[in-house]
Amino acid sequence: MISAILFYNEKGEVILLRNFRGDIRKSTSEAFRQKILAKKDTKFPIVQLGRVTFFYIRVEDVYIVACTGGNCNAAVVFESLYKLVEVFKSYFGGLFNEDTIKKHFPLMYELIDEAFDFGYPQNIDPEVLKTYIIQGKPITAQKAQQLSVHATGQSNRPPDLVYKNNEMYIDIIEQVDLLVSSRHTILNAEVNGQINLRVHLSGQPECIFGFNDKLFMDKHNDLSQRAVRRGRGFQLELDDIQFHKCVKLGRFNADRTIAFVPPDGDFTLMRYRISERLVKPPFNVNPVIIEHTNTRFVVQVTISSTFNPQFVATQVVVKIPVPHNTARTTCDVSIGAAKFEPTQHAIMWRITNFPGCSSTQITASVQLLASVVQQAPWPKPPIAMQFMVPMATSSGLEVLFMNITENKLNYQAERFIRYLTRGGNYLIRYPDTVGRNTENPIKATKN
Amino acid sequence: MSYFNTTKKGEIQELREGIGSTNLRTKKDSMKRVIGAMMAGTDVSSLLASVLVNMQTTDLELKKLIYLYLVNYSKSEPELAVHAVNSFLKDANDTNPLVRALALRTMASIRIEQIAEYMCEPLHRCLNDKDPYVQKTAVLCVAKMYDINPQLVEDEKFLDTLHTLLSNGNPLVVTNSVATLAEIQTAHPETTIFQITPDILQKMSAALSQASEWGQITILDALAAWYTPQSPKEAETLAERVSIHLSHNNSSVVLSSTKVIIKLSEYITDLNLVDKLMKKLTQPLVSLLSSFPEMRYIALRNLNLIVQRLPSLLVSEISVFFCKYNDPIYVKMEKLEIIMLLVNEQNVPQVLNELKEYATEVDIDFVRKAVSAIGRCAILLPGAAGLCVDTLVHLIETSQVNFVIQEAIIVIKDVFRRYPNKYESIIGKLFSKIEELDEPEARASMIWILGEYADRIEGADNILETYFLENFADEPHIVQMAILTASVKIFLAIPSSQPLVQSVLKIATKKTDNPDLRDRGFIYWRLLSVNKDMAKAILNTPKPPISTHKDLVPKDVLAELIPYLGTLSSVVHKVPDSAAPTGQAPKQTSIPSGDFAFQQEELVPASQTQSYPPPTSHNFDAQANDEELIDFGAFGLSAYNTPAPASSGIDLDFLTGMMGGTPAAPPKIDYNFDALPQLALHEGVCVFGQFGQLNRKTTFFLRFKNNSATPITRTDFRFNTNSFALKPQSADLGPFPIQPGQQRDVAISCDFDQSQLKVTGPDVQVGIQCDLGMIMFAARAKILSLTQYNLAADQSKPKASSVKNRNATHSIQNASNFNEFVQRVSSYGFVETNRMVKDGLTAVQLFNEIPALNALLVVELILKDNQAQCVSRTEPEYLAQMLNEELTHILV
Repeated sequence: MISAILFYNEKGEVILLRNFRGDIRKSTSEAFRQKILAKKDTKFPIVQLGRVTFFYIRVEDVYIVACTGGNCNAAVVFESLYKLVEVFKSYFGGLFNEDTIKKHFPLMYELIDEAFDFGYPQNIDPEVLKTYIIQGKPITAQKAQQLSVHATGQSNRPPDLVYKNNEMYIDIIEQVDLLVSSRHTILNAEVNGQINLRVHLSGQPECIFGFNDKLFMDKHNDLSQRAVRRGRGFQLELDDIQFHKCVKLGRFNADRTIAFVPPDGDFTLMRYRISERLVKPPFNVNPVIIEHTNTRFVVQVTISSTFNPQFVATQVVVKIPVPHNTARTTCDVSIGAAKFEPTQHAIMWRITNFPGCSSTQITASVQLLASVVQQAPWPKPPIAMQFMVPMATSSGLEVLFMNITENKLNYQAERFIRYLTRGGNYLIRYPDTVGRNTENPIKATKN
Repeated sequence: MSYFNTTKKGEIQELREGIGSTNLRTKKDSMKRVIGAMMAGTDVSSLLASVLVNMQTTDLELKKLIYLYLVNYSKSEPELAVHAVNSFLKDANDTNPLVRALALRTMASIRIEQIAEYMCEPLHRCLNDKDPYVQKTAVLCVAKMYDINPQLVEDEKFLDTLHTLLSNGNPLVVTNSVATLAEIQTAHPETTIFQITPDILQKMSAALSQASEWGQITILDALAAWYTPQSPKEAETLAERVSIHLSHNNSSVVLSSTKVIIKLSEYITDLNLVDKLMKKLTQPLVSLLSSFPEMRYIALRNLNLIVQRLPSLLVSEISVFFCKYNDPIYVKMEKLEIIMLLVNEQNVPQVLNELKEYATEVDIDFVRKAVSAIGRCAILLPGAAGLCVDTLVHLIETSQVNFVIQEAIIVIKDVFRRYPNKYESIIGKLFSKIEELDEPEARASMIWILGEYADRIEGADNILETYFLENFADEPHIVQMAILTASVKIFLAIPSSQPLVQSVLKIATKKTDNPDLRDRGFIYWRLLSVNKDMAKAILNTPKPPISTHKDLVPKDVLAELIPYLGTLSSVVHKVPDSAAPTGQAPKQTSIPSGDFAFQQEELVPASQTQSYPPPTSHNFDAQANDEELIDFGAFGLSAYNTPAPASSGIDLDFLTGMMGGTPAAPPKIDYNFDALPQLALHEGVCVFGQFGQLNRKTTFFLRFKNNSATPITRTDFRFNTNSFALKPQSADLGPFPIQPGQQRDVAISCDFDQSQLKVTGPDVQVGIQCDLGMIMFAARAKILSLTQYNLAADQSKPKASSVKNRNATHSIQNASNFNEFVQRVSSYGFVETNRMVKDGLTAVQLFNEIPALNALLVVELILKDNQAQCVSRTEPEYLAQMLNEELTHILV
């Protein structure tokens, strides 16, 4: 497994090094600095130098590098490095950069030693670590004995948790990815959703979670009939679901019941993915380029929202790229504000509120610098869009129930549910053709 | 506050005082500064004595800092470290489990043999500690100790303890034991330290559901590497069990589960189940692509292998591999690779649109690869070649980027090689860009086209002279070679260009230092002066077809890599022993002696260090270039292997034979294979087949037609469990290879095997595993081809009457030749058991049986008043319908 983990700053200096196996020497770290960081040859995330393999990620101004001399599980290495960063951020108040490393390095050593032993990941869960790696507070032998069951993953809750108010917050966050080709066909559209929980519950609660999953409803007729009676007839087919480790996968496999004993604090209960077959993009974007001369063109982008009018999208940002030699632009918009941002090489159009089932347009005229030298052609990056639609899910996922039972304490827990849809990689390629294309329908259509 | 600014003079003294302070806070602060200085590279080893004094502290935080210091300096001061042993031993007995574990862990990290010896006693105790946290730490200490002193571990029988710990109640203890045993086994493949017996398997699979994500991976990886199922049933159970982990949030768990399932599926005989398992893999694998970029990269490298292994798995998901504008370049490159593996006649228009889009992007390598991929599409898919060539021409005409044009011309040369005399109409358009070519490869490709089509290009000799000859001496080697060959070809096509070829030959033979070029020049020269016809025959020899291989990883390597999915070797596509540059990390000896040096200082990005040609455009080009030499190579071959031909007659068939390697003809079978119905079409392989009887044995007649571009080098022929307990006697369709365009006729005789029996229906599901993946189809079994011949009439009489149920009645149209019908039925092995002639009524009872299925078949033909009837009865009933259908055929 991992032989050593090194932390480099941007200059290529090792600011922290944890050697698990004693086979990584100074020359090894030096080689990585010289060959990769100094040359800025960071094209591949895995590099082999001599006999050592380096796996590295970059977080803020820090490179985190894991070295190994054998054939270790590369997926585990990256997965655990990212988890480790999460742990650090959770301890350091959400920050992780060169300064925080210098400030907290003794703690970091402590955490790394808990997270890995001899290069094998042991326990990289911030919530669990926080129960026994506490700065400045000694842990008594008695307490430690109680904790070790928790620390070795046998139970995912610390013992004897008590909350005055038993609460659970359920956040359903969906990210819509879209790729529309230059011919207005949807190449790829998918929703990546995640259900985040914040658990403040006493004791050892057992939870059962249900949403309008078609396969679940098929297996539980009574529940689905009840849902239909309540006017929640829509059933959702997911392409793939992934669960947090606390979910009893065997039970899910048997009858698609999502049962779990939640860890304390924040975690992602499940992730899911729905592909283009079922996704209706919340916004249709239709760009048209009208070229006037070599040094001036007009781009017109029409945006229409397809979601229910009762919802309003907020923080809508449309990034319309323009060539590098753009001199100035004039934008004409009916709502929001648009302006040319030279550092981004794009017109940024910001709309605070965008109601459902409405449509708006921007007409931007772009003036280019004339140049004598023929420049490389403009690669036309796609138009990118960001947005948030609170209280809506673009997939139609709905929470049906979240049953919480705690046998000994027998309390009623409060549940709070929030929904949010946001734009992820929402990309629309510029059309090939110049001019108003009358052949293609304005609306994006599927192949 | 920063602990790093401690390099000033006097600082060490200050620190020493700090550590010696009575105030715990000051102590801790100073200690932190010591560690900071240590990290920054300042030598603080002189403080060792002062630090050791504090080892007995009860403050856990301070203790950790001191231990950290010790681990770092014990290497350079082993004697002093030994002084700390007593403190360690005391701590290893502490009441606080965290302290016990810490002491043990730190001791094991001090990699000195003396310490290892002191460790034995506490390690024994901690392995059996009642606290799981101490236990799991102790387990890994065994691995650390094995690294320092393997003999000691064996003498103390720690490995036996680990084996007992496999049934421990704590999942982390179990998985750490698995990890330790697996690591030792990997490092010492000659030993049998870790064998997955049924007992251990049971323990491992019990821990699987309880273990943490990392522990699950440890178990899954160990299963993939060392476990061989004892029976199909065992494989099925485990695969089902592992498959639930495909919905784990952690991508590495998904990858590790995938490899176990793929490996196990090879041992499962129920093809339906295999199919079901493989279907379960698709979506979780696609989900890996929503992970962070580095994981996407690993996932894509692995998917590349999985797609090669199981081509059908992701073919419908091609659009998830389309590149996003903001994907990192390494992700884009890998996506393109997979798109090229998945492209087929149906999705090629969509793929071409994408590739065209990529050709306008910024990154040069990616753009070139995209352009070259368009050419690869043309070469792979004859049906789409026209479309691809149009796309390339469009790019050449419209692109303002020089390297797009060059790359396009390089691949167009290969397209010409693949489809000779088909797309020459575009040559004119290529030549309009001739002045923009400055890369050797593009120039060489252009010159090759010029030579190859000299007879159809007006003024080919002038073009060569104007654009390429001027700087002949300064051209790179491949361009020189191309010019030489092209000039000879042009001369053969246009005899008036003699001065040109003479001048080229003269430069090539007299004014060059390159022996290759000179020798080739001499040979051409001699050839031309002796016999022009022969030169023509040699230079215009039909070239061997350009390779259209999709599969880039050799099959045996691929099979070896599957158990290592997710690991480094699956990322670099190399079998483990060669994946890590030296296999195991070099072990450090107890006396530090110099750093381990970088002997191979060259920098190789991981994905480019493959042992076979990397799957880039260069792969194709390299092949093409090698084969391009054939203009000359073919001559060499014949000259050495055959008696020199008298005049112009070089046996070209012989040459093609040499290159192609015709396999020996298979034995002739007396059966009309042309009449077989087509059953399947997969990747260009066409399968025809039917059940019948050959020499009174049930036989499956099969025609296997390879219309794909890949030679078939192996096949595995199997039936799924079926209603008739049929099982093929042999699994291969050899002799191999079956070259593209060839077909193979085989008669596969079948046995009855009760374990194959499962009543499903009249169809037998057949699977043929070959180089192009799994071909699956259903073949209608014929009941009359299953019947057994050797029946004694007396024996069958009572049996015949025992069949009570009556299936169906057929009326026979043409009753006049009643006896002929009796004849026909008995020709299928039926035995007459009863005949009754009375009052103008003739009734004949015919009997047959399939002993393996305990099946009895009775056919009664009745002729009454010139009305003929046929009644059939069968047992068991599921055969009734089939018999009816077949009888209808016979009786028509």
